[in-house]
Amino acid sequence: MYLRHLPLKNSSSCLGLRIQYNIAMKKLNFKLILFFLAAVVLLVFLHLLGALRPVERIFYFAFNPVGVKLQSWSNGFNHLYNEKLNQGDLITQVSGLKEQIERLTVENAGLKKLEEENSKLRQHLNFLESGGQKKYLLANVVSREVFSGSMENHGYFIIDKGKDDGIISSLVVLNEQGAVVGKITEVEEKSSRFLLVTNSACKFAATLQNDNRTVGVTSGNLGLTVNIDYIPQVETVNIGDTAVTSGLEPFIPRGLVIGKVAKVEKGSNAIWQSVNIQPLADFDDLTIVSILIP
Amino acid sequence: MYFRLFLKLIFVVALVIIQISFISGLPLGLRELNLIIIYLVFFLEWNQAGKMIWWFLLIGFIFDIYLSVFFGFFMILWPLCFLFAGFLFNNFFTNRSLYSFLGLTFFTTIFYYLFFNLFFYFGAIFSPSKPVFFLLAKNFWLSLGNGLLVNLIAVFILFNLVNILSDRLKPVFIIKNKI
Repeated sequence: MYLRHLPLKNSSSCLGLRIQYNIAMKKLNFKLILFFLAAVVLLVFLHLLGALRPVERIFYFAFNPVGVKLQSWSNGFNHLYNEKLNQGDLITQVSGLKEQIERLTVENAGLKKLEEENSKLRQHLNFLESGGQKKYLLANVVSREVFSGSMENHGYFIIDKGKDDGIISSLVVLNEQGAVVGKITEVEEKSSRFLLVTNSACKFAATLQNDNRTVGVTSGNLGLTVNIDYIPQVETVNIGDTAVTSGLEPFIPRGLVIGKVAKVEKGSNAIWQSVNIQPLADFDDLTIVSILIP
Repeated sequence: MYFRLFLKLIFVVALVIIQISFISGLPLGLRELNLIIIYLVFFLEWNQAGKMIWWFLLIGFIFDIYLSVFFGFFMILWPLCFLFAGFLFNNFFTNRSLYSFLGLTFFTTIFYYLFFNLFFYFGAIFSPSKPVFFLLAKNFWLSLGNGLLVNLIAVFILFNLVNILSDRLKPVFIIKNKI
């Protein structure tokens, strides 16, 4: 048997330990401990006096930049670790946020609609009250049918007010600016149907605001424009003249704007002339309408 | 000799700076890693205790400069940790096995936490707000548990790494010579 590579200071044997301990005790004697404690007290004392400040400054000066760099790396690592740790939570959070976005989008759309409605209602009220109209009803468009049966019968809308609200047939329907949109044709208890002014079945007694105060009957033209036919050739109609209701019909007051003359058809040999009127109301944007009631 | 001393100085200072600046910013569990305890366990040269204690004074001094806790506290704490580890090493452990290293790390870490918290508990006991005794505080046990875990894992890894790279920590056997 032989002992392979057994340095005394690293020995694991009892003898080795005892020797080490004795050496250590010799080196770490009472005198040394006292000396050590005196050094600590001296350093604390010098620190309190401020005498160590230059040494401390040297340490700060030398190691602060390194410390800052290390701290930034450490924070980066911490950030990365937290990100990894929270990845599962993030996925849940993302799906939660997606749901929230969807909900808020719907809510936002609803609010936008409300805002729009509010603005339209205000406009309706403005024009109705400034015009001195005492009785009116505001109604929401609940359905629209652009094509119904034949091409001649373009455009009708269904609103959420009916007989129970005091609506009767032949009442005029206006938009938020007070322009004529159409005429009530059918009335149910809780809903009504009105035809657009551009519908060929919708007719209004109208007056052109020209020198002759030309009177005629409007009728829709292919769901796009409005015509007034049978105007005597002697009357002068200019493009841009405004067509308004004449007040000759029951329940429809005069002076409600239908549109402006866009085209005058005047044949040299014809007895009558006809004018084409561009309606003032935008029918694509109808959500709330007002109905003037007698 | 002076060059070795200088290298050792650089190493010790770097260790302290890393402990103070880098380890302290790590995630909650990892920030309990104590490089000084690991250094103490790996470089414990008890037969040179008279010299080693001055190195731990230096470590404590740098700690005291940076972590303005109570100037002098770390200058006492680290040499005490060293003496405690030395005492354990000489009376209960061999110096080369993994178990010795793990045992030293385990008990020195506990000593460090107990001393640290005891000092501040007695420091705060005279303050108007009476502190909760640290052994009854959940945080103390959590940080101690974390500290033990990360230090033991680090020592385990380092021990095996050193074993792969050198023979310094290889066990010594009395081998029967076949004649």
